[in-house]
Amino acid sequence: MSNRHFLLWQKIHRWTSLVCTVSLLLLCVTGAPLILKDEIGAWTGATVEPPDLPGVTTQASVDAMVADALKRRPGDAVRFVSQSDDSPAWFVSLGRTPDAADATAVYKYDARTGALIHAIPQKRGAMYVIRELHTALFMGLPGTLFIGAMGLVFVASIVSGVVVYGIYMRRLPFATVRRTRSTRLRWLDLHNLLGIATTAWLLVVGVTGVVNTLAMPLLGHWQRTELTAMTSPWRGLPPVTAATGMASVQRAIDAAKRSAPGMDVAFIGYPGSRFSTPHHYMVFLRGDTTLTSRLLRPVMIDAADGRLAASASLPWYLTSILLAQPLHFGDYGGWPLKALWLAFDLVAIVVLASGVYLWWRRRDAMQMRADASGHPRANPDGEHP
Amino acid sequence: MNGKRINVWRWPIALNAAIVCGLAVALLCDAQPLRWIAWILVGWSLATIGYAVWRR
Repeated sequence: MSNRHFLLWQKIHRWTSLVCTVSLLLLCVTGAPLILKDEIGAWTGATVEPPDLPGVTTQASVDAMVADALKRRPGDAVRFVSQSDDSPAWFVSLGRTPDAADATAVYKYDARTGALIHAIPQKRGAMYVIRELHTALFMGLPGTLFIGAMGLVFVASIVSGVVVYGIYMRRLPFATVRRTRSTRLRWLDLHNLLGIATTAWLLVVGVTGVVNTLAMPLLGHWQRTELTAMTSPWRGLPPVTAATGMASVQRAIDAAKRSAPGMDVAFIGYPGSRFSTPHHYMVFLRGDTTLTSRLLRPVMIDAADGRLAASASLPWYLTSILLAQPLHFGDYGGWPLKALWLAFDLVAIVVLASGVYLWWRRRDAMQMRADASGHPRANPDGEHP
Repeated sequence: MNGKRINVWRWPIALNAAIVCGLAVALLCDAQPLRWIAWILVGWSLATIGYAVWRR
C-alpha cells in the first residue's frame, strides 16, 4: 500500500473515531451497569425474585394475576402479559388504554402461587436514566436512530483502525509496548494492542447495537405489511372487549401452546394493544434452548372464543434483531459471560480514551515542532493516529 | 525494528477467532461440555492478551 493510501486510511480512522468517541464513551459507561442490571436491581431492591419454594410445581392461573392487577388499578387496561425466562414469574403491564405507549404499572407475580411479588417502578430510578441514555438519549426514536448512526461510524472506525494497524505493525512484533520511549508512544502501543485484540468483540457489539436501534422502525414495518395481511380476514369485525365477552387469557395461552408443542409463552399482546388486533390475543411463543428461546413465533388467538386463528414465522429482519440482542447484551451465558462483557467494555473505554489522548498529544507535538522549525510538519514521529 | 518483515495478522486472527468461536459455541450449544469449550476458547484468548501486556 502506498504512503498516500496509508495517510488516507489514517485520516479515515482519525475522523470517524473522533466523530463517534463521545457517543461511544457514553454508551460504554452506561453499558457497564446495564450488564449488571440484575445484580444492581437485587442489591437496590428494584428487582425482587420469587422466593424458593422447594417441591412446589403448581402453575397458578394467569387469569387470577390479571384480575388482581386490574383490581389494583381500576379503570386501566391490560396491554401485555409476559413470562420471565429465568425465574418462575409473570408480568402484567397496564396502561390507560390497551394501545397506550407507556405503562401505568407493571406487576410481577409468582408463577407457582399467583402471589404478587413486586410492583415494578416506572420511569424513575438511576437504572431508568442509564437505560434511556444508552438507548435513546431521552429523545425517543430520533435519539435511538442517532445512536445507530454513531454505531455505523464506529464500525467504520474499527475497520479503518484494522487497516492502519496492519500497516503500522509491519515491523513490530505483536503486543509490542515501548515502555522506555515517550508516554504517547506507550499509549499508542497499548491502544493498538487492546484495539486489535478486542476487534471481534467490538465489531459484534457495535453491529448488533446498530441492528437493535432499528427494532422499532422494523417492527412498525412488520405491523403495516405482514401483520396487516395476516389479520385481513378479520378486518372490520367489532373489537372484542370484556363487555362484549372475551375469552380468558389463560385459555388463549393453552390454545397457543397446544398449537406448538415444545414451545413456551414469551409474551401476550392483549386485543387492541400495539402488538395485536382489536379482535385477537397475539401470543408470542419461544423455544427452550439458548438460541431458540430468543426466537419468537406469533400465534393469533381469537379473543371472542379462545380458538387458534392463525400462526406465522417472524420475517428475517425481526429474527435478525432477536438474534442480535443476546450478542449485544451478553446475557446468554450466566456470570462468566457477564464478567467477559464487563471486562471488554472497560477495555473499550481505555481504547476510546487513549485514542482521544493520542489525537490531542499529536496536535501538541505537531504544534511544538512547527513553532520550533517555523514551518508545519505532517507527522510528529511517523506514528499514527 | 530490525528490518525483518513479520506476520502482522497471526496473533490478532488467533485471538479474535477464539473469542468469536467461544461466543458462538456458548450461544448455539446448550450441552454443558460444549459450554466448557466456549469458556476455554475465550479464556485462552484473554490469557494470551494479558500475558502479552505483562511480558512487554
